[in-house]
Amino acid sequence: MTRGCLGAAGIGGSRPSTWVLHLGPGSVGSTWSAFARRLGSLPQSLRVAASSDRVNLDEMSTLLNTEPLHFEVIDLREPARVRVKLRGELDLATAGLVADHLRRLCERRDAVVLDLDDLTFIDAAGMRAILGAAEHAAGDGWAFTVTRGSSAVRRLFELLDVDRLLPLEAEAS
Amino acid sequence: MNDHTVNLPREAASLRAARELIQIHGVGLSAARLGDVGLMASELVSNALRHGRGVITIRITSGPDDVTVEVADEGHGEVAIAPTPGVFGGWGLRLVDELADAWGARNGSTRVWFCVLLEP
Repeated sequence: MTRGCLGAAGIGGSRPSTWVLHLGPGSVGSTWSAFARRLGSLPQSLRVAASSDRVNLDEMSTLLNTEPLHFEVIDLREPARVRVKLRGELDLATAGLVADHLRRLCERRDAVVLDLDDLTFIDAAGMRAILGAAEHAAGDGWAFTVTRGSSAVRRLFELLDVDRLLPLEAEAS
Repeated sequence: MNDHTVNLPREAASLRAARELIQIHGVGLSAARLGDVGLMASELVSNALRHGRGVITIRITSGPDDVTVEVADEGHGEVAIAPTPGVFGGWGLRLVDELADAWGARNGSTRVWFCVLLEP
């Protein structure tokens, strides 16, 4: 297991409010599941304290330095909701991870705003993951919104005319 | 006339590789058009990963007037191609249809190409 890496933030308190998942190229699900196995059973998605003794931090930092990071998912706890920030390049390689992550948050009934403002690339597979979550939310009342997104996101959504299918976050004034 | 052919392994990292190849070999394209061509190339590699077989080959040909990109795989090409999106598919080719000046398929669906004209 050499690709991708997992880091965590949220020092202080037994329940970290923020965690960060980093993915290198080609890591798709295998890295994730390998880490999930290493970290043991993780109720409520992922709870990794920065100082967790279940994580080999030396190995983690080695992984951090071996490959550039092209995509990451960051959960930011806000009042009454979670801001899921996607950063980097969202494509077929990483779309499944986003879909899985959103599904977990939905199962927990966490209100989610999906922040697309820091995506430097998105393709149709990435868009399908987002549309899938939106469709699910419309069907079962899950509180799910998305930001208008970066220029790459705007370009794709406008080309495919999918804004009408998405619960867009109200513009901040 | 520049002509580059690169074999890509059947793995997800090839999506980024294809986009980087466009950045390198998409000679004469404006920054915005370079983004569009990278997106289209990425969609074709995505389709090859999802529906095709074997090694994926990307060919980038740039001339004085246009840039042509062709993505091929070693499958049988029995997958019907049409830019008609459903919930789970078809969006990628619709993007190509929207963004390219011309596109098409050869040998069934195993070789899909598109062309963009350079702005004068």
